[in-house]
Amino acid sequence: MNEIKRQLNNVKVIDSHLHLGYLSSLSMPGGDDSNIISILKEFGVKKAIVSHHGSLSTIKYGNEKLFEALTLYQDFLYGLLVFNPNFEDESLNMIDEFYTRENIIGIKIHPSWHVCYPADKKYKRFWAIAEERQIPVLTHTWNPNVANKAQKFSDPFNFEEIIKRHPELKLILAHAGGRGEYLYKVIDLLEKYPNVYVDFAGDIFEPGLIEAYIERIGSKKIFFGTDMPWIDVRYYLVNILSAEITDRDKENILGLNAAGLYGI
Amino acid sequence: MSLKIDLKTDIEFYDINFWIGENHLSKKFTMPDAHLTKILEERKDKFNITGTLITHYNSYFYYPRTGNDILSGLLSESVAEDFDLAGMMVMEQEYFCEPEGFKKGLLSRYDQGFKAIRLFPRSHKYPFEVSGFRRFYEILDHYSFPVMISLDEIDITGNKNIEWERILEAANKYNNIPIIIDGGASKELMFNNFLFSLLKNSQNIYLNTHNLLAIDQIEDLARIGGADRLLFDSNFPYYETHLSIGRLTNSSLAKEDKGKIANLNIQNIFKGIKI
Repeated sequence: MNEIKRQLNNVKVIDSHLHLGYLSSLSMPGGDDSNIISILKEFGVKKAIVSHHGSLSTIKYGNEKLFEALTLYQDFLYGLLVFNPNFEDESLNMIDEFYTRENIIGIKIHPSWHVCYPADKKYKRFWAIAEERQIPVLTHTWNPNVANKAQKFSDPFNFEEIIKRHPELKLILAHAGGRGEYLYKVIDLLEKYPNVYVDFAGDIFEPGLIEAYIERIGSKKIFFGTDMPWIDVRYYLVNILSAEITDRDKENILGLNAAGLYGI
Repeated sequence: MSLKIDLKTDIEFYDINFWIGENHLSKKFTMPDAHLTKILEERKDKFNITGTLITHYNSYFYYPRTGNDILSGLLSESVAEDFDLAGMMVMEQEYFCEPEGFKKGLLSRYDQGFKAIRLFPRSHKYPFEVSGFRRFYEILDHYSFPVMISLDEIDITGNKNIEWERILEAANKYNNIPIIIDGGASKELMFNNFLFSLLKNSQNIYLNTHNLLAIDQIEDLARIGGADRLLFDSNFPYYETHLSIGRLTNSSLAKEDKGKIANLNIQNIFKGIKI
Protein backbone atom coordinates (compact mmCIF):
# COMPACT_ATOMS: atom_id res chain seq x y z
CA MET A 1 0.00 0.00 0.00
CA ASN A 2 1.35 3.45 -0.88
CA GLU A 3 1.94 6.04 1.83
CA ILE A 4 -0.92 8.29 0.71
CA LYS A 5 -3.46 5.48 0.89
CA ARG A 6 -2.07 4.32 4.22
CA GLN A 7 -2.61 7.79 5.68
CA LEU A 8 -6.15 7.90 4.34
CA ASN A 9 -7.11 4.37 5.33
CA ASN A 10 -9.72 5.42 7.87
CA VAL A 11 -10.66 8.74 6.33
CA LYS A 12 -13.77 9.39 4.27
CA VAL A 13 -12.29 10.76 1.08
CA ILE A 14 -14.72 12.03 -1.56
CA ASP A 15 -13.48 13.54 -4.78
CA SER A 16 -16.34 15.96 -5.34
CA HIS A 17 -15.23 17.29 -8.73
CA LEU A 18 -14.03 15.10 -11.54
CA HIS A 19 -14.89 14.28 -15.11
CA LEU A 20 -15.09 11.20 -17.26
CA GLY A 21 -15.00 10.93 -21.04
CA TYR A 22 -12.95 12.79 -23.62
CA LEU A 23 -12.65 16.30 -25.02
CA SER A 24 -11.63 17.19 -28.56
CA SER A 25 -8.91 19.58 -27.42
CA LEU A 26 -7.28 17.21 -24.96
CA SER A 27 -4.96 14.30 -25.61
CA MET A 28 -4.44 12.31 -22.44
CA PRO A 29 -3.41 8.69 -22.90
CA GLY A 30 -4.02 8.06 -19.21
CA GLY A 31 -7.43 9.70 -19.21
CA ASP A 32 -9.73 6.78 -19.91
CA ASP A 33 -12.48 6.17 -17.39
CA SER A 34 -11.15 2.92 -15.95
CA ASN A 35 -7.71 4.42 -15.31
CA ILE A 36 -9.24 7.46 -13.60
CA ILE A 37 -11.26 5.28 -11.25
CA SER A 38 -8.37 2.93 -10.67
CA ILE A 39 -5.95 5.72 -9.69
CA LEU A 40 -8.50 7.36 -7.40
CA LYS A 41 -8.97 4.08 -5.56
CA GLU A 42 -5.27 3.31 -5.51
CA PHE A 43 -4.64 6.53 -3.57
CA GLY A 44 -7.42 6.17 -1.04
CA VAL A 45 -10.42 7.96 -2.54
CA LYS A 46 -13.58 6.19 -1.33
CA LYS A 47 -16.28 7.95 -3.40
CA ALA A 48 -16.30 10.29 -6.36
CA ILE A 49 -18.79 12.77 -7.82
CA VAL A 50 -18.55 13.06 -11.57
CA SER A 51 -19.88 15.26 -14.33
CA HIS A 52 -19.28 13.78 -17.75
CA HIS A 53 -17.33 15.75 -20.36
CA GLY A 54 -19.89 14.49 -22.87
CA SER A 55 -22.72 16.15 -20.95
CA LEU A 56 -21.15 19.57 -21.42
CA SER A 57 -21.60 19.23 -25.18
CA THR A 58 -24.42 16.79 -25.75
CA ILE A 59 -27.26 16.24 -23.31
CA LYS A 60 -28.48 12.84 -24.52
CA TYR A 61 -25.08 11.30 -25.27
CA GLY A 62 -23.53 12.71 -22.12
CA ASN A 63 -26.30 11.32 -19.95
CA GLU A 64 -26.02 7.89 -21.55
CA LYS A 65 -22.31 7.78 -20.84
CA LEU A 66 -22.81 9.08 -17.33
CA PHE A 67 -25.44 6.46 -16.53
CA GLU A 68 -23.24 3.72 -18.00
CA ALA A 69 -20.42 4.79 -15.69
CA LEU A 70 -22.73 5.02 -12.67
CA THR A 71 -23.86 1.45 -13.32
CA LEU A 72 -20.35 0.18 -13.87
CA TYR A 73 -18.94 1.83 -10.74
CA GLN A 74 -22.10 1.92 -8.65
CA ASP A 75 -20.40 1.46 -5.29
CA PHE A 76 -18.00 4.28 -5.97
CA LEU A 77 -19.48 6.88 -8.27
CA TYR A 78 -22.15 9.57 -7.96
CA GLY A 79 -23.24 11.77 -10.83
CA LEU A 80 -24.06 15.37 -11.61
CA LEU A 81 -26.37 16.18 -14.51
CA VAL A 82 -25.37 19.17 -16.63
CA PHE A 83 -27.74 22.07 -17.22
CA ASN A 84 -27.13 23.70 -20.60
CA PRO A 85 -28.86 27.11 -20.80
CA ASN A 86 -28.71 27.00 -24.60
CA PHE A 87 -31.05 24.00 -24.45
CA GLU A 88 -33.12 25.26 -21.60
CA ASP A 89 -36.28 23.18 -22.08
CA GLU A 90 -34.39 19.98 -22.89
CA SER A 91 -32.16 20.46 -19.87
CA LEU A 92 -35.05 21.12 -17.51
CA ASN A 93 -36.91 18.10 -18.85
CA MET A 94 -33.78 16.04 -18.34
CA ILE A 95 -33.54 17.20 -14.73
CA ASP A 96 -37.18 16.40 -14.20
CA GLU A 97 -36.76 12.92 -15.66
CA PHE A 98 -33.44 11.89 -14.19
CA TYR A 99 -32.78 13.80 -11.00
CA THR A 100 -34.37 11.11 -8.88
CA ARG A 101 -32.30 8.40 -10.57
CA GLU A 102 -30.10 6.43 -8.23
CA ASN A 103 -26.73 8.06 -7.53
CA ILE A 104 -27.63 11.37 -9.24
CA ILE A 105 -27.01 13.96 -6.56
CA GLY A 106 -26.62 17.39 -8.14
CA ILE A 107 -26.22 19.58 -11.21
CA LYS A 108 -23.12 20.97 -12.85
CA ILE A 109 -23.17 24.23 -14.79
CA HIS A 110 -20.39 25.84 -16.82
CA PRO A 111 -21.21 29.41 -17.86
CA SER A 112 -17.94 29.79 -19.81
CA TRP A 113 -18.37 26.58 -21.76
CA HIS A 114 -21.96 27.48 -22.61
CA VAL A 115 -21.11 31.18 -23.15
CA CYS A 116 -23.99 32.41 -21.02
CA TYR A 117 -24.03 34.57 -17.90
CA PRO A 118 -25.69 32.96 -14.88
CA ALA A 119 -28.03 35.95 -14.59
CA ASP A 120 -29.20 35.45 -18.16
CA LYS A 121 -32.92 34.76 -18.47
CA LYS A 122 -32.05 31.30 -19.86
CA TYR A 123 -30.92 30.31 -16.36
CA LYS A 124 -33.89 31.84 -14.57
CA ARG A 125 -36.14 28.77 -14.29
CA PHE A 126 -33.16 26.58 -13.47
CA TRP A 127 -32.20 28.65 -10.43
CA ALA A 128 -35.75 28.55 -9.10
CA ILE A 129 -35.97 24.77 -9.50
CA ALA A 130 -32.56 24.15 -7.94
CA GLU A 131 -33.50 26.23 -4.92
CA GLU A 132 -36.97 24.79 -4.56
CA ARG A 133 -35.82 21.18 -4.87
CA GLN A 134 -32.64 21.80 -2.85
CA ILE A 135 -30.43 20.46 -5.63
CA PRO A 136 -26.74 21.24 -5.02
CA VAL A 137 -25.25 23.14 -7.96
CA LEU A 138 -21.56 22.95 -8.80
CA THR A 139 -20.52 25.82 -11.05
CA HIS A 140 -17.29 26.55 -12.85
CA THR A 141 -15.84 29.90 -11.72
CA TRP A 142 -12.77 31.78 -12.92
CA ASN A 143 -11.03 35.10 -12.84
CA PRO A 144 -12.27 37.01 -15.92
CA ASN A 145 -8.93 38.79 -16.35
CA VAL A 146 -7.18 35.99 -18.23
CA ALA A 147 -6.40 35.29 -21.88
CA ASN A 148 -9.51 33.13 -22.32
CA LYS A 149 -12.23 35.76 -22.74
CA ALA A 150 -15.03 33.26 -22.14
CA GLN A 151 -14.05 33.14 -18.49
CA LYS A 152 -15.94 36.42 -17.99
CA PHE A 153 -19.15 34.37 -17.95
CA SER A 154 -17.88 32.51 -14.89
CA ASP A 155 -16.72 35.42 -12.76
CA PRO A 156 -17.64 34.20 -9.25
CA PHE A 157 -19.12 37.60 -8.46
CA ASN A 158 -21.65 37.08 -11.26
CA PHE A 159 -23.33 34.72 -8.83
CA GLU A 160 -23.91 37.20 -6.07
CA GLU A 161 -27.21 38.45 -7.46
CA ILE A 162 -28.33 34.83 -7.93
CA ILE A 163 -27.47 34.02 -4.33
CA LYS A 164 -29.33 37.09 -3.09
CA ARG A 165 -32.37 36.15 -5.15
CA HIS A 166 -32.22 32.49 -4.07
CA PRO A 167 -30.91 32.45 -0.51
CA GLU A 168 -31.65 28.74 0.01
CA LEU A 169 -29.76 27.70 -3.12
CA LYS A 170 -26.78 25.43 -2.39
CA LEU A 171 -23.98 26.62 -4.63
CA ILE A 172 -20.42 25.33 -4.88
CA LEU A 173 -17.98 27.74 -6.54
CA ALA A 174 -15.59 25.37 -8.28
CA HIS A 175 -11.95 26.44 -8.61
CA ALA A 176 -12.52 29.32 -6.16
CA GLY A 177 -12.18 31.85 -8.94
CA GLY A 178 -9.17 30.12 -10.43
CA ARG A 179 -6.39 32.69 -10.55
CA GLY A 180 -4.73 35.57 -8.77
CA GLU A 181 -6.54 37.81 -6.33
CA TYR A 182 -9.87 36.13 -7.10
CA LEU A 183 -8.74 33.12 -5.10
CA TYR A 184 -8.87 35.33 -2.02
CA LYS A 185 -11.78 37.60 -2.96
CA VAL A 186 -14.04 34.55 -3.15
CA ILE A 187 -13.66 34.15 0.61
CA ASP A 188 -15.87 37.24 0.98
CA LEU A 189 -18.73 35.40 -0.71
CA LEU A 190 -18.31 32.37 1.51
CA GLU A 191 -18.20 34.56 4.58
CA LYS A 192 -21.29 36.49 3.58
CA TYR A 193 -23.60 33.75 2.30
CA PRO A 194 -24.29 30.59 4.34
CA ASN A 195 -25.14 28.30 1.42
CA VAL A 196 -22.08 29.00 -0.69
CA TYR A 197 -19.19 26.54 -0.79
CA VAL A 198 -15.93 26.20 -2.68
CA ASP A 199 -13.51 23.69 -4.16
CA PHE A 200 -9.94 24.13 -5.36
CA ALA A 201 -10.22 21.64 -8.22
CA GLY A 202 -7.98 22.36 -11.19
CA ASP A 203 -4.43 23.63 -11.03
CA ILE A 204 -5.07 25.69 -7.90
CA PHE A 205 -1.91 25.17 -5.88
CA GLU A 206 -1.37 28.66 -4.52
CA PRO A 207 0.91 28.26 -1.49
CA GLY A 208 -0.92 28.91 1.77
CA LEU A 209 -4.36 29.11 0.16
CA ILE A 210 -6.02 26.38 2.21
CA GLU A 211 -4.64 27.87 5.39
CA ALA A 212 -5.90 31.36 4.41
CA TYR A 213 -9.43 30.06 3.87
CA ILE A 214 -9.48 28.19 7.15
CA GLU A 215 -8.26 31.22 9.04
CA ARG A 216 -11.17 33.29 7.69
CA ILE A 217 -14.07 30.83 7.40
CA GLY A 218 -13.02 27.53 8.97
CA SER A 219 -12.93 24.24 7.07
CA LYS A 220 -16.60 23.38 6.69
CA LYS A 221 -17.24 25.08 3.36
CA ILE A 222 -14.27 23.67 1.47
CA PHE A 223 -14.60 20.55 -0.68
CA PHE A 224 -11.86 18.29 -1.96
CA GLY A 225 -12.11 18.04 -5.76
CA THR A 226 -9.46 17.11 -8.29
CA ASP A 227 -10.80 17.93 -11.73
CA MET A 228 -9.44 14.54 -12.82
CA PRO A 229 -8.30 13.74 -15.46
CA TRP A 230 -7.11 17.32 -15.95
CA ILE A 231 -5.13 17.18 -12.72
CA ASP A 232 -3.72 14.03 -11.17
CA VAL A 233 -5.21 13.19 -7.77
CA ARG A 234 -1.75 12.61 -6.29
CA TYR A 235 -1.01 16.34 -6.36
CA TYR A 236 -4.15 17.12 -4.38
CA LEU A 237 -3.84 14.51 -1.72
CA VAL A 238 -0.22 15.38 -1.04
CA ASN A 239 -1.19 19.05 -0.91
CA ILE A 240 -3.95 18.56 1.65
CA LEU A 241 -1.97 16.11 3.74
CA SER A 242 0.94 18.57 3.78
CA ALA A 243 -1.17 21.62 4.71
CA GLU A 244 -0.57 23.28 8.06
CA ILE A 245 -4.08 22.62 9.37
CA THR A 246 -5.58 20.29 11.94
CA ASP A 247 -6.54 16.69 11.22
CA ARG A 248 -10.16 17.63 11.78
CA ASP A 249 -9.93 20.30 9.10
CA LYS A 250 -8.33 17.80 6.73
CA GLU A 251 -11.13 15.31 7.34
CA ASN A 252 -13.77 17.98 6.74
CA ILE A 253 -12.20 18.97 3.46
CA LEU A 254 -11.38 15.49 2.26
CA GLY A 255 -14.90 14.16 2.57
CA LEU A 256 -17.10 15.07 5.50
CA ASN A 257 -18.25 18.36 3.97
CA ALA A 258 -19.24 16.80 0.65
CA ALA A 259 -20.89 13.89 2.44
CA GLY A 260 -23.01 16.33 4.42
CA LEU A 261 -24.07 18.56 1.55
CA TYR A 262 -24.78 15.80 -0.94
CA GLY A 263 -26.15 13.38 1.65
CA ILE A 264 -23.87 10.49 0.75
CA MET B 1 -2.45 9.10 14.14
CA SER B 2 -1.71 12.43 12.53
CA LEU B 3 -2.82 12.99 8.95
CA LYS B 4 0.58 14.10 7.74
CA ILE B 5 2.60 12.58 4.96
CA ASP B 6 6.33 11.97 5.18
CA LEU B 7 7.75 12.55 1.71
CA LYS B 8 11.37 11.82 2.44
CA THR B 9 12.56 8.73 0.60
CA ASP B 10 15.93 7.34 -0.40
CA ILE B 11 15.58 9.03 -3.80
CA GLU B 12 17.93 12.00 -4.04
CA PHE B 13 16.52 15.01 -5.88
CA TYR B 14 18.26 17.70 -7.86
CA ASP B 15 15.91 20.66 -8.29
CA ILE B 16 16.58 22.53 -11.53
CA ASN B 17 14.03 25.29 -10.99
CA PHE B 18 14.44 27.20 -7.74
CA TRP B 19 14.17 30.97 -7.32
CA ILE B 20 15.86 33.13 -4.72
CA GLY B 21 15.86 36.86 -4.00
CA GLU B 22 13.27 39.61 -3.79
CA ASN B 23 10.14 39.25 -5.85
CA HIS B 24 8.82 42.80 -6.02
CA LEU B 25 5.33 41.55 -6.86
CA SER B 26 4.90 39.40 -3.80
CA LYS B 27 6.25 39.15 -0.28
CA LYS B 28 5.05 35.56 -0.21
CA PHE B 29 7.28 34.64 -3.13
CA THR B 30 10.26 36.62 -1.84
CA MET B 31 13.08 34.39 -0.63
CA PRO B 32 15.80 36.61 0.82
CA ASP B 33 19.35 35.63 -0.11
CA ALA B 34 20.19 35.46 3.59
CA HIS B 35 17.67 32.63 4.02
CA LEU B 36 19.20 30.42 1.36
CA THR B 37 21.04 28.09 3.70
CA LYS B 38 18.00 27.63 5.93
CA ILE B 39 15.72 26.91 2.98
CA LEU B 40 18.12 24.40 1.51
CA GLU B 41 18.56 22.67 4.86
CA GLU B 42 14.79 22.32 5.25
CA ARG B 43 14.41 20.91 1.76
CA LYS B 44 17.20 18.43 2.34
CA ASP B 45 15.66 17.30 5.63
CA LYS B 46 12.10 17.04 4.36
CA PHE B 47 12.56 15.83 0.81
CA ASN B 48 16.15 14.67 0.32
CA ILE B 49 16.83 17.47 -2.18
CA THR B 50 20.61 17.39 -2.38
CA GLY B 51 21.26 19.62 -5.37
CA THR B 52 19.77 22.83 -6.70
CA LEU B 53 20.07 24.92 -9.83
CA ILE B 54 19.24 28.46 -8.75
CA THR B 55 17.74 31.36 -10.67
CA HIS B 56 17.89 34.78 -9.05
CA TYR B 57 14.78 36.98 -9.21
CA ASN B 58 16.94 40.03 -9.75
CA SER B 59 18.12 38.71 -13.11
CA TYR B 60 14.52 38.28 -14.22
CA PHE B 61 12.80 41.30 -12.68
CA TYR B 62 15.59 43.87 -12.66
CA TYR B 63 18.57 43.21 -14.89
CA PRO B 64 20.15 39.93 -15.99
CA ARG B 65 23.76 40.92 -15.52
CA THR B 66 23.15 42.31 -12.04
CA GLY B 67 21.18 39.24 -10.97
CA ASN B 68 23.83 36.93 -12.36
CA ASP B 69 26.46 38.85 -10.41
CA ILE B 70 24.46 38.59 -7.20
CA LEU B 71 24.01 34.87 -7.73
CA SER B 72 27.70 34.52 -8.49
CA GLY B 73 28.36 35.93 -5.03
CA LEU B 74 26.04 33.39 -3.43
CA LEU B 75 27.70 30.57 -5.33
CA SER B 76 31.10 31.61 -4.04
CA GLU B 77 30.01 31.06 -0.44
CA SER B 78 30.54 27.79 1.38
CA VAL B 79 26.85 26.97 1.13
CA ALA B 80 27.43 26.09 -2.53
CA GLU B 81 29.64 23.15 -1.62
CA ASP B 82 27.41 21.95 1.21
CA PHE B 83 24.34 21.72 -1.01
CA ASP B 84 25.64 20.97 -4.52
CA LEU B 85 24.50 24.27 -5.95
CA ALA B 86 24.75 25.59 -9.48
CA GLY B 87 23.70 28.87 -11.00
CA MET B 88 21.26 29.55 -13.80
CA MET B 89 22.76 32.28 -15.94
CA VAL B 90 20.08 34.52 -17.39
CA MET B 91 20.88 35.73 -20.92
CA GLU B 92 22.46 39.16 -20.60
CA GLN B 93 21.22 42.04 -22.75
CA GLU B 94 24.73 43.30 -23.55
CA TYR B 95 25.50 40.36 -25.80
CA PHE B 96 22.91 41.32 -28.38
CA CYS B 97 24.91 44.41 -29.31
CA GLU B 98 28.23 42.71 -28.67
CA PRO B 99 27.82 39.01 -29.49
CA GLU B 100 31.56 38.48 -29.78
CA GLY B 101 31.76 38.89 -25.99
CA PHE B 102 29.35 36.05 -25.32
CA LYS B 103 31.88 33.22 -25.42
CA LYS B 104 34.13 34.85 -22.87
CA GLY B 105 31.16 35.79 -20.71
CA LEU B 106 29.79 32.26 -20.76
CA LEU B 107 33.16 30.76 -19.79
CA SER B 108 33.49 33.26 -17.01
CA ARG B 109 30.01 32.46 -15.65
CA TYR B 110 30.81 28.75 -15.83
CA ASP B 111 33.88 29.38 -13.70
CA GLN B 112 31.60 31.12 -11.20
CA GLY B 113 29.39 28.02 -10.94
CA PHE B 114 26.74 28.60 -13.60
CA LYS B 115 25.79 25.40 -15.40
CA ALA B 116 22.85 26.42 -17.57
CA ILE B 117 21.49 29.50 -19.29
CA ARG B 118 17.88 30.61 -19.15
CA LEU B 119 16.22 32.55 -21.95
CA PHE B 120 13.37 34.99 -21.41
CA PRO B 121 12.69 36.13 -24.98
CA ARG B 122 9.17 37.35 -24.30
CA SER B 123 9.77 39.12 -20.99
CA HIS B 124 13.17 40.52 -21.89
CA LYS B 125 12.29 41.17 -25.55
CA TYR B 126 14.76 39.38 -27.79
CA PRO B 127 14.73 36.71 -30.47
CA PHE B 128 15.19 33.05 -29.65
CA GLU B 129 14.67 31.55 -33.10
CA VAL B 130 17.62 30.21 -35.08
CA SER B 131 17.95 33.24 -37.35
CA GLY B 132 18.14 35.83 -34.56
CA PHE B 133 19.93 33.82 -31.87
CA ARG B 134 22.30 31.91 -34.20
CA ARG B 135 25.60 33.27 -32.89
CA PHE B 136 24.74 32.33 -29.33
CA TYR B 137 23.36 28.92 -30.21
CA GLU B 138 26.60 28.13 -32.06
CA ILE B 139 28.66 28.78 -28.93
CA LEU B 140 26.24 26.96 -26.65
CA ASP B 141 26.28 24.04 -29.08
CA HIS B 142 30.06 23.98 -29.12
CA TYR B 143 30.13 23.60 -25.34
CA SER B 144 26.97 21.44 -25.06
CA PHE B 145 25.78 24.05 -22.60
CA PRO B 146 22.19 23.53 -21.35
CA VAL B 147 19.49 26.05 -22.23
CA MET B 148 16.22 26.43 -20.35
CA ILE B 149 13.24 28.20 -21.85
CA SER B 150 9.72 28.47 -20.48
CA LEU B 151 6.58 27.80 -22.49
CA ASP B 152 5.34 31.20 -21.30
CA GLU B 153 8.41 32.74 -22.90
CA ILE B 154 7.85 31.20 -26.35
CA ASP B 155 4.19 32.15 -26.23
CA ILE B 156 5.12 35.49 -27.74
CA THR B 157 1.54 36.67 -28.20
CA GLY B 158 0.62 35.72 -24.63
CA ASN B 159 -2.37 33.89 -25.96
CA LYS B 160 -1.20 30.28 -25.93
CA ASN B 161 0.18 30.56 -29.45
CA ILE B 162 3.37 28.79 -28.51
CA GLU B 163 6.06 28.79 -31.15
CA TRP B 164 6.76 25.09 -30.99
CA GLU B 165 8.29 24.76 -34.45
CA ARG B 166 10.92 27.42 -33.70
CA ILE B 167 12.18 25.63 -30.64
CA LEU B 168 12.18 22.34 -32.51
CA GLU B 169 14.17 23.92 -35.33
CA ALA B 170 16.75 25.22 -32.84
CA ALA B 171 16.98 21.83 -31.15
CA ASN B 172 17.53 20.01 -34.41
CA LYS B 173 20.05 22.47 -35.81
CA TYR B 174 22.05 22.64 -32.58
CA ASN B 175 21.65 19.14 -31.32
CA ASN B 176 24.49 19.27 -28.80
CA ILE B 177 22.54 21.74 -26.69
CA PRO B 178 20.30 20.12 -24.10
CA ILE B 179 17.18 22.27 -24.40
CA ILE B 180 15.02 22.15 -21.29
CA ILE B 181 11.41 23.20 -21.76
CA ASP B 182 10.10 24.68 -18.54
CA GLY B 183 6.35 24.37 -18.08
CA GLY B 184 6.16 27.82 -16.49
CA ALA B 185 2.60 28.64 -15.57
CA SER B 186 1.15 26.80 -18.56
CA LYS B 187 -1.29 23.99 -18.10
CA GLU B 188 0.79 21.57 -20.09
CA LEU B 189 -1.85 18.92 -20.46
CA MET B 190 -3.34 21.17 -23.13
CA PHE B 191 -0.19 20.64 -25.15
CA ASN B 192 0.38 16.93 -24.83
CA ASN B 193 0.40 16.37 -28.57
CA PHE B 194 3.01 19.10 -28.99
CA LEU B 195 5.10 17.66 -26.17
CA PHE B 196 4.91 14.17 -27.70
CA SER B 197 5.94 15.67 -31.01
CA LEU B 198 8.91 17.54 -29.51
CA LEU B 199 10.20 14.40 -27.85
CA LYS B 200 9.64 12.21 -30.89
CA ASN B 201 11.24 14.66 -33.31
CA SER B 202 14.33 15.65 -31.38
CA GLN B 203 17.03 14.03 -29.30
CA ASN B 204 18.00 16.92 -27.11
CA ILE B 205 14.73 18.38 -25.81
CA TYR B 206 13.94 17.75 -22.15
CA LEU B 207 10.85 18.62 -20.10
CA ASN B 208 10.75 19.59 -16.47
CA THR B 209 8.03 18.05 -14.37
CA HIS B 210 6.42 20.64 -12.09
CA ASN B 211 3.53 21.43 -14.38
CA LEU B 212 2.91 17.97 -15.82
CA LEU B 213 -0.34 17.93 -13.91
CA ALA B 214 -2.70 15.71 -15.88
CA ILE B 215 -3.47 12.17 -14.93
CA ASP B 216 -0.45 9.93 -15.57
CA GLN B 217 1.15 12.67 -17.69
CA ILE B 218 4.60 12.01 -16.27
CA GLU B 219 4.24 8.27 -16.84
CA ASP B 220 2.93 8.81 -20.38
CA LEU B 221 5.71 11.20 -21.35
CA ALA B 222 8.30 8.82 -19.90
CA ARG B 223 6.80 5.98 -21.93
CA ILE B 224 6.60 8.01 -25.13
CA GLY B 225 9.86 9.93 -24.95
CA GLY B 226 11.83 7.92 -22.40
CA ALA B 227 12.48 8.68 -18.73
CA ASP B 228 15.81 10.15 -19.87
CA ARG B 229 13.97 13.19 -21.19
CA LEU B 230 12.28 14.33 -17.97
CA LEU B 231 13.91 16.47 -15.29
CA PHE B 232 12.61 17.03 -11.79
CA ASP B 233 11.89 20.60 -10.74
CA SER B 234 9.81 22.22 -8.04
CA ASN B 235 9.28 25.77 -9.37
CA PHE B 236 9.82 26.91 -5.78
CA PRO B 237 8.51 29.19 -4.33
CA TYR B 238 5.67 29.54 -6.84
CA TYR B 239 4.73 25.95 -6.10
CA GLU B 240 5.20 24.21 -2.81
CA THR B 241 7.90 21.60 -3.14
CA HIS B 242 5.82 18.77 -1.70
CA LEU B 243 3.71 18.77 -4.88
CA SER B 244 6.45 17.69 -7.31
CA ILE B 245 8.17 15.44 -4.78
CA GLY B 246 4.93 13.71 -3.81
CA ARG B 247 3.91 13.22 -7.41
CA LEU B 248 7.18 11.64 -8.53
CA THR B 249 7.69 9.45 -5.49
CA ASN B 250 4.12 8.16 -5.90
CA SER B 251 4.36 7.58 -9.64
CA SER B 252 4.06 4.11 -11.10
CA LEU B 253 7.44 4.41 -12.80
CA ALA B 254 10.21 1.94 -12.02
CA LYS B 255 12.50 3.10 -9.25
CA GLU B 256 15.35 3.38 -11.73
CA ASP B 257 13.31 5.78 -13.86
CA LYS B 258 12.33 7.85 -10.84
CA GLY B 259 16.00 8.16 -10.01
CA LYS B 260 16.82 9.30 -13.53
CA ILE B 261 14.16 11.99 -13.45
CA ALA B 262 14.95 13.03 -9.89
CA ASN B 263 18.66 13.42 -10.31
CA LEU B 264 20.65 11.37 -12.80
CA ASN B 265 19.46 13.00 -16.02
CA ILE B 266 20.48 16.49 -14.98
CA GLN B 267 23.78 15.22 -13.60
CA ASN B 268 24.48 13.62 -16.98
CA ILE B 269 23.62 16.87 -18.74
CA PHE B 270 26.05 18.75 -16.49
CA LYS B 271 28.75 16.14 -17.08
CA GLY B 272 28.28 16.60 -20.81
CA ILE B 273 29.25 20.29 -20.70
CA LYS B 274 32.46 20.54 -22.70
CA ILE B 275 34.21 23.39 -20.96
